[in-house]
Amino acid sequence: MSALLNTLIPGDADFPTPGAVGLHDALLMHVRFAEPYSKVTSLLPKGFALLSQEERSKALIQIEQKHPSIFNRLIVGVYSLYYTNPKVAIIIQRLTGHTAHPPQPAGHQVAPFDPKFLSIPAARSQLYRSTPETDNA
Amino acid sequence: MTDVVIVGAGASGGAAAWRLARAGFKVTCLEQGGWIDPDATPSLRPDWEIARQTTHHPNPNVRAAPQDYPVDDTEAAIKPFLYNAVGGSTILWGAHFPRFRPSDFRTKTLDGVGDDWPISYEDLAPYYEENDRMMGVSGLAGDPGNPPRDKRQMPPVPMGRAGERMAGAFDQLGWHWWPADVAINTEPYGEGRGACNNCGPCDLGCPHGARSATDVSYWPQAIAAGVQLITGARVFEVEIDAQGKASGVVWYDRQGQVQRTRAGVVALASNGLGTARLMLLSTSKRFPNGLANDTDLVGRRLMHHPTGMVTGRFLDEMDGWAGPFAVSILSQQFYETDITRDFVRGYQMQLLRSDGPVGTAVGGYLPRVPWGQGHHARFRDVFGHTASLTVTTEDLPRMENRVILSTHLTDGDGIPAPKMIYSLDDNTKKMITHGIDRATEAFNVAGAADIATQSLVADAGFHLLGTACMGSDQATSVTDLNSRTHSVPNLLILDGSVFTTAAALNPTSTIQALALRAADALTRDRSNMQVAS
Ligand SMILES: Cc1cc2nc3c(=O)[nH]c(=O)nc-3n(C[C@H](O)[C@H](O)[C@H](O)COP(=O)(O)OP(=O)(O)OC[C@H]3O[C@@H](n4cnc5c(N)ncnc54)[C@H](O)[C@@H]3O)c2cc1C
Repeated sequence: MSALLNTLIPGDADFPTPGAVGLHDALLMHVRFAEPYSKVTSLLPKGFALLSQEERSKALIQIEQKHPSIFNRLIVGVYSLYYTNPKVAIIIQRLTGHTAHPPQPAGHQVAPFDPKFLSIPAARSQLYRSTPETDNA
Repeated sequence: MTDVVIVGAGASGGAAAWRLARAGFKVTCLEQGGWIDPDATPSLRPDWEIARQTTHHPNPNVRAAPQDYPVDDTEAAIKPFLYNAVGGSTILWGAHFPRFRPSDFRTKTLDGVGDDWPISYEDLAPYYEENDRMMGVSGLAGDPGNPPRDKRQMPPVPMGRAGERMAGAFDQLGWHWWPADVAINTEPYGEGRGACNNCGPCDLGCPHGARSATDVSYWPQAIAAGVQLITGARVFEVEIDAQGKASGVVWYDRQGQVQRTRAGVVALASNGLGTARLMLLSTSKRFPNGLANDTDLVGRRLMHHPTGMVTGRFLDEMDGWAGPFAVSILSQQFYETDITRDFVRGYQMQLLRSDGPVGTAVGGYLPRVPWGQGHHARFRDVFGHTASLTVTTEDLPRMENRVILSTHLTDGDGIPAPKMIYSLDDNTKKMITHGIDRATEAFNVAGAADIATQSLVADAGFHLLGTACMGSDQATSVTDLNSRTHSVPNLLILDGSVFTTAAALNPTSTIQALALRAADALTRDRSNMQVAS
């Protein structure tokens, strides 16, 4: 059942395939994403899983071209559930430093604003246009 | 019977309710949505990015929650973005908080386009000031792009690596830039509101109350001042008496029962889209084409801020997922009309940070990361490595851009939905092209490895303006300078519907300043106010 998902996101040396992180079940159970998943699955040609990766991609390109809206909804669902999967989030943390935890409550460390950057822009002359009222003010 | 009934508890409704209650009015506010629990924000959950694609999507057609109304956008080049709850669209907003410039109120006099507002920047300045105090603003005085004004309540938000890089590029090019004014606390400010911890997705809500929204800024104080706020109340008609004065509103409660609230003054604060819808729904013998619509202007002159987008990918990490996503620095170098260009008026460029993993993969600032072979290689290239400049343009009012009632879509109570009919004019297209070239130049100077452009971001209908415009001539406007409709003197329009022109700046501080000003004018004229018999 993961042939479709693993064609969309093939996985590589760092990242697992969707099939390996249980995305099939997650999609089927999702209140919004189950529908596009079932629909696109029903559009697959017979024997899709037995095709080569290249042939599977070709078949999916055809479905994407014929049914762009439903295919797009499936992509949103697949990417959403894949990239929020804890196993994938841990890999992203290892590769990039982006925390696998939710953004709150800890937040992120960012250097506070430093006024030293303003020496050039603050020295510019007035850039806004005057109006009859500003002239009188 | 209440003195004033306000429809909508968003940015403008909250501000006006507080001001009027403090002035001694008995105020009732009806809001179709409910309260949002800040502790239920998805940004506390591992699946936070899914909420952005579903339950917290800014497009009500995608979100499709029970309190939302659908919008027919089949003939609209820009899709509607709004939220329905106590706090209104500020529940999702990025909290950019610029003021309009003086010239924005005088486009006809200065450039021969649009119309002059019946008020000036100077008329609004004290209300901007008061509104800043209530919402809490982080930023810095001294911007040569705007008139001098008081110190902000708090220092600016962090620039982030991309901000520093782009500031350097603007300096090299000799262009204006300045830290954005934002309604986000960089220090604790306001009642029980903490400081921003740079989590990123302000649009999902802020458990610290650092990102100001009217549910945490105005509403607690409005309720303390005596405002009665009724949630789950969907208004479907403004009623008038035999003399054509507004006498109250009719609404559905959560059980679908019809309720009626009688009032001396009716104030609409339902967003530029919702207010036009409600006025068009309120037909009568006196107003067969919709309330206060003798001139056929209600719903017309719909304005957005058509936006182009340029995204630069850098080889070094920008960590753009850290820091409030929508705000950092901005450039108004190309804001005012320059006769050497092939368009009038202008635009600003706002630097946006970047997205989390899902947002990066699904696309937005950049096209979607392609599925199939090479998916992860592309993901690695872009995630955390980009920054974007918006080209946020001024949209001039045109009669054919409008809100009407849909003939086939309805909300959960069976009330006709609004339909947006909207296209861009040549002036705007030229402006966007110019802006995209300039933003590309800036990313090149900043050393971006590659640059992607979008000539029009369709998913950017955040600012819905102009559909019941303000003016001094009754034949060419819907309200007077105090936001009261010409033909129904006790009907106030408090939201962005009243904008005469749109400027090229985020509108909410101006919407709220106008709402406070309208409230003060009502207080001043209270004894002479003509109300329903
Ligand atoms: C994602 C996003 C980002 C944004 N970012 C920015 C930004 O950075 N800076 C900026 O200036 N602006 C921003 N905006 C726009 C800003 O939120 C709006 O300009 C502002 O909230 C408009 O205020 P309002 O009072 O007119 O309407 P809203 O705040 O939208 O409030 C209207 C309220 O009326 C209620 N209502 C409507 N119809 C009815 C009815 N029939 N009966 C009862 N209640 C009704 C709605 O439920 C809603 O709560 C953003 C908006 C979005 C969606």
